Amino acid sequence: MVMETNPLALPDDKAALDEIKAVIDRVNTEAPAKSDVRALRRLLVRYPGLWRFAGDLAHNAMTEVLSNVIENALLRESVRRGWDELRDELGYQIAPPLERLLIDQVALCWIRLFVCEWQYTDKAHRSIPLSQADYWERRLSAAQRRFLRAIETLARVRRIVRKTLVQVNIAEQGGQQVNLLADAQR
Amino acid sequence: MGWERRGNGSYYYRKRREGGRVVSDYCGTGEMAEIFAMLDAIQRGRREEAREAWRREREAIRADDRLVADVGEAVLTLTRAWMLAAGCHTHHGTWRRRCDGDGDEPIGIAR
Repeated sequence: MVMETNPLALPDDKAALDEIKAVIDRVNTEAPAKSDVRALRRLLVRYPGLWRFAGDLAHNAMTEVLSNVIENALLRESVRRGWDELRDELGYQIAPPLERLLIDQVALCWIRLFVCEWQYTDKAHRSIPLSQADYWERRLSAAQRRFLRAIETLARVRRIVRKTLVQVNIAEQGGQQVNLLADAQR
Repeated sequence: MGWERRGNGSYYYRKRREGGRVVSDYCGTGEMAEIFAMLDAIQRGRREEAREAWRREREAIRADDRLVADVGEAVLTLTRAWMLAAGCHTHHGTWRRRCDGDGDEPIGIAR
């Protein structure tokens, strides 16, 4: 299935996501109407920038979180390099767009977990009220769960990508085509 | 905590809760009482500062949480959209792929 995009159709990315959400609810059934499935595919092809938008969101969130929590510039830079290294180790450079998105999600959850652990350790050395100690404990547990869930989702999608035979090509601005899915042989 | 006037004098008391009732502890009068009052005011100020600092910290954490949540929502939407467009659907919390009439193949737990 090869579809071309209209590079001039660049609506607000959030509005595009809302449009996709509305169609998802109709498609997520055991027997969705073929017209709805086609509509969903058309939307994904029509808005190729959404993958980049979500990736930019992740990168901006990472930068904001680090800036807000870690004052030491050297430590901040070290953590930022950890972000880059983790993405490389997960195969970001050769991954198709959907996997890149999920790799960014894993990396962001890793950053969040690091920050939570850092804050928790800092608080543990101080005398704080029991209610605050409980709050930090719960935050750390939630960050650990989110990190594990992000890894599971990446693994699950990779397994499907390697099995599916359907390729969805999208045309990015500049005329280049990008495969959303990996080759079935990978 | 506070000053109580009786006759021509002012007396300083500290109040504390003991079980279900409030107990007053006499702290004195004159300069000694003023010192107690000053120390209590300083402690109240510190507690208020600590509460305000904790409120600001939680507000900053909530702002970061919102950023991360926005990313998570976008990723979830796009992942679901792709899985559905690729011919999968959820069934009792599990993603399944349609296999051309041979029955659904379970893939994993949907989130």
